[in-house]
Amino acid sequence: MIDVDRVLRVDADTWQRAVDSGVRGSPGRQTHHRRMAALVASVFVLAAAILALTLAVSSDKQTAGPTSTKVGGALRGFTWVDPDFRVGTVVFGRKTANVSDGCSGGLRKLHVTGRTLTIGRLIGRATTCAGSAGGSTAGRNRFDHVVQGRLRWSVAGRRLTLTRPDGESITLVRNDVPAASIVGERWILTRVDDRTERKIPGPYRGATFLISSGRLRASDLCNVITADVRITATTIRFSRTATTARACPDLGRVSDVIDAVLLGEREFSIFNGKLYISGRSAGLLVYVRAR
Amino acid sequence: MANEPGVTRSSGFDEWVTPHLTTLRRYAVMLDATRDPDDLVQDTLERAWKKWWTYSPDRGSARTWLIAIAADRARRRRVRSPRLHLVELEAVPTPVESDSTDWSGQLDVRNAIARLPRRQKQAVLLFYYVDLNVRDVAEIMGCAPGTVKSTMSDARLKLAELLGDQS
Repeated sequence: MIDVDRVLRVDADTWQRAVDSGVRGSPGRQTHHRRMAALVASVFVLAAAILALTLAVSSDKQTAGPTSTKVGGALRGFTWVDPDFRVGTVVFGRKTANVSDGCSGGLRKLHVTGRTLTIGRLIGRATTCAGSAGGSTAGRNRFDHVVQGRLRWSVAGRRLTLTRPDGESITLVRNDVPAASIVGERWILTRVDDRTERKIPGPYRGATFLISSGRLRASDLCNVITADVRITATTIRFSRTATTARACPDLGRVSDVIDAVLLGEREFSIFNGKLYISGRSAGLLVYVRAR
Repeated sequence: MANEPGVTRSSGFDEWVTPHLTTLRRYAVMLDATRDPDDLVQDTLERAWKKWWTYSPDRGSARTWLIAIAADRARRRRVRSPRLHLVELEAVPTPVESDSTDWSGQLDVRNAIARLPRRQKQAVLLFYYVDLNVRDVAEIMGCAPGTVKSTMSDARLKLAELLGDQS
């Protein structure tokens, strides 16, 4: 008598391995892929071992932060969020830090020496919030009080602790989406869903999206939208400053949805290199990076 | 209770969805293998992300909720592209193994599954191949867990008969 349960489990296991490895070609090609994967894995293991050895040799007893004097991969490009109030954010660049307490903020000069960093004077446009700001005034005041001047820093996992000379400290949590992956890149519109969540057919030629130096410059297929933006862990707040008023041909609902979504506080996320900006009832915009 | 719509929504979504991605992809391959299952997964995630705030554990597990969305997206694709059809497991090539215990291929299991009645086939595919538990299969099939168990029992008897003929 055949043990059908076992037959099915064995066959399913084989099928799952083929599916999970993403193999789509012929068996011979799969063997080649497997060999290549093993080779690549070996190289990675070797590289990881060398890296671990290097870090072990160079690190001192205080292992919370990297020893590099540059703000490297540990900090740079990520949005660090105040977990208590979820409004205060810091985005580190190479020599600048974009600091916002959820209401006011701007680009500030950054100097890093070892485990000490100095957040200096404002060098970019200062932003202030229009209308009610998120979080409490006490939370913003505490954030503003700590996140400035000369600070000791240490990173443990996803947590960044900044400590003032008087010992007062704040711990920020890293957002998983690097802000740098949004800022400074040109994005091209690939999909527009209207408020009924149906896709509005394209093409959406010329509809671009670029955030640079705290400002948005986007196109709604005809007019150019500019806005001040403030990025938090999960949201972008667009404070519209200007929109050109060209006489446009009838572009249908696409322009209306773009105009509606790129206004106010919107949630964003990135999946597989696509930027999604959700305007809830206003619609959804999906962008891909321009090449 | 539905997820609270707010600032933590997007950041938590990745962590929430990640444990189910493997299952979701297997299901997508089963539904949409001749096209691009990854595209279907992507489409499902988009939809899930937009609708995440409506999800409530009271209405079923996260896994079955995602699978229901994937089924819906696949159905919409088929409506838009009538050439597409439900493809069975044969569409996914199986690696050649030298494992001597892997004798299932000799019995042409996939062909036997294809000959099962629709409900039995659905139960077998979801339980064994997509690797869902009985409760999740029951939710997807819209029946009681006991019904799933009896359906699979019938399926195994039928398969024993079909495979017995082959051996």
